[in-house]
Amino acid sequence: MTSIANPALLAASQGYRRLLARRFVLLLVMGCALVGAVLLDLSTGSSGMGLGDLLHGLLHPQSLDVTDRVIIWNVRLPYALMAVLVGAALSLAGAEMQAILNNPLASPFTLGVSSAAALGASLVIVFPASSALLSRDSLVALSAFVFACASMFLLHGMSRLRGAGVETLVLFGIALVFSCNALVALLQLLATEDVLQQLVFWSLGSVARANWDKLGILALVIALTAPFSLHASSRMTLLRMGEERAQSFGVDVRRLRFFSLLRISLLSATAVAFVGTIGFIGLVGPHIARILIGEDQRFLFPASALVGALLLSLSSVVSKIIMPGVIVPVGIVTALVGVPIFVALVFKRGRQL
Amino acid sequence: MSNLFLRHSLVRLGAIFVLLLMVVSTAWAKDVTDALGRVVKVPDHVQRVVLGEGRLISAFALLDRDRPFQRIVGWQNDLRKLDPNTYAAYVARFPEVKDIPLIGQASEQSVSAEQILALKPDLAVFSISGHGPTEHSPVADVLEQAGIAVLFVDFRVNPLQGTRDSMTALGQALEREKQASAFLDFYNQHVERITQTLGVIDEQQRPSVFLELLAGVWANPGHTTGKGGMGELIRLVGGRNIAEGVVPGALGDISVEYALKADPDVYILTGNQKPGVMLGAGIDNATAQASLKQVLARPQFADLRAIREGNVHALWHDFYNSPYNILAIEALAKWVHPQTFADLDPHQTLEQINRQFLDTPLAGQYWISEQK
Repeated sequence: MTSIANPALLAASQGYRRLLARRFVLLLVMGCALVGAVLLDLSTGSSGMGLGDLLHGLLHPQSLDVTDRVIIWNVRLPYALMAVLVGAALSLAGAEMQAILNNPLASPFTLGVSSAAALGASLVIVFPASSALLSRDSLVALSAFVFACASMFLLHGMSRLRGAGVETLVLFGIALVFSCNALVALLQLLATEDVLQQLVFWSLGSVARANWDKLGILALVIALTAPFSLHASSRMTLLRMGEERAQSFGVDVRRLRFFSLLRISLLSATAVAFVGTIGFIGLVGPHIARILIGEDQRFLFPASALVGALLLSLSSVVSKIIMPGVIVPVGIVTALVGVPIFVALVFKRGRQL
Repeated sequence: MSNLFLRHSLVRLGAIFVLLLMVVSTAWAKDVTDALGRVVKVPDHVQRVVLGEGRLISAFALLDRDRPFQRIVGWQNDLRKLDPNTYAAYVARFPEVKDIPLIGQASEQSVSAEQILALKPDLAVFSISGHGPTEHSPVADVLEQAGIAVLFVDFRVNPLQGTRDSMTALGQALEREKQASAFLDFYNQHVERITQTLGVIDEQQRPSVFLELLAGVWANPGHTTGKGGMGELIRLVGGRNIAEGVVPGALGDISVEYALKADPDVYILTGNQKPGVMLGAGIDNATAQASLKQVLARPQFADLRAIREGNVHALWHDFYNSPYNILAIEALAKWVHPQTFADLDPHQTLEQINRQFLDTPLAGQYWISEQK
């Protein structure tokens, strides 16, 4: 083989293998950190039920009274798992967005997916539609989902229509954020008092809306999209080197972008439809992952998902312990945790960002 | 073999016994219809209650008169934060109030479902709107899954019917039917007296009223109510809320220009603490008057005819979320139709409520008219 014949190539190949091994180890470490965070999340709560009691309750369900059973099955487990899935979904969506738009500011939050979802939810809350098939809660989530997907395709369509570059897409996204937020504020003015509070509650993200149906749906969406993300990741790495370069390697860039956008829509729309607006995870998660693991999208995508899940899981812990007995909504915590990290990143990377 | 059979039948017997126990224990409950019209199974002898809004204690004070807090095992922090004077008055009389565990600060999203579960309440009382968990809140769903009765009350969206439904429901749930119906008889009599005295009233005969909520506290001038809420009370006493039909929803800010142009006959402010009008528990008349003067010094509304002519009054803000709203109704009636209700005396009604229905009296200035 030529690689054996050429000592320089052999060294490079060994170096590359070491790099790959290092990245695998990093992914493994992130995975372990995530498991730790989830266990921590499961063991914090105002009732004082520790991890031991919780595991004992899981293994011996008949020993539980109804209160403890509800605390485990309707509060601790769904909240903790929802934090993991939402963090992973938003961060993976953010990583794909930053790759296809070649823009470090791209995220489901900054490009208006969350705002569109909030608008969709608010519309159903203020003008309740009735349906024989769906509960009110599901209608709100469905409407949020439809609006979030529509916002992505609106963005895509607008940029196609004008033949505009990816920079313009980001500007359209920002315009979308402001319009949707303004419409939500207008709906708050129209709202009767009994629904006003629900609007506010919705526009602040919270994992307290988690239940097992929603967890199942979100897990399914992630399971259906993540393999395709991974499959596309090596072509994404080529795209990050420049559009022409990717094309010269035989990558169908338009097709790649379109299917990526489809995955982003599904992931972020499902996540925000279930938990409301949780900002910054989708923006900061991929950036942290990039600093840790580099630009190779094959590793960046899973790393982003893990970092996002880890961040939201830790935020969920913090939201429970700041004020005992009181929840500081996780949407607020993630923004407070996310902003300093983001600012530090901008300073550290300077112009490269 | 027979041994096994014996053990099986013992297990079966045990299961039947447990099942029977469950059936019997659910029978120790009663159906209570709440303010949303839901039929709630409330266990007998409720001893542990969680309040979605701390200010709902005003209803409990009418029912558990000697010790309003005896069943409260958890509440939100809204009373302390939003009406500190009333909170201080309760703490002065019941120092243990300070130690009631918090389930949240003063908003639905701060409420921890797990904290409520850990307090093991028999009953949770939530408002249908406002600062606590509401109808479609995940917190209420989780509690119901844990078999905790959740009763919704309303003193604010539809203050009149809400007060009637909510006091009836709370009376049944807490086994204080006598106290609840005595208060509601009193309440209805006083409302009827006003509606009967007014009779049918033309839209033209209704003096126009500008009700500014939390004047001086709210960031924008002109914070007011459109549909329902205190607006309903203005209509009841024969007034016309200038924001009705203008503010599309429950709450909103009308523009200064609109308020000036609408030229209201009566200007009414609500408040309970600085920098607004100070009213409520422990506030004396001089303090209230001085704070009203300060709020009226704001430039925006200084030129209102109502202010120039001295038709300025102020109400304790928390009447908007309390069964004591009958006092606000009477004060409003006097302000809107001074001649018609010349012999109506809300101060006497306050004394009656203190004497007949409360052990912790309402002591302080709860409403004032501007003294020049």
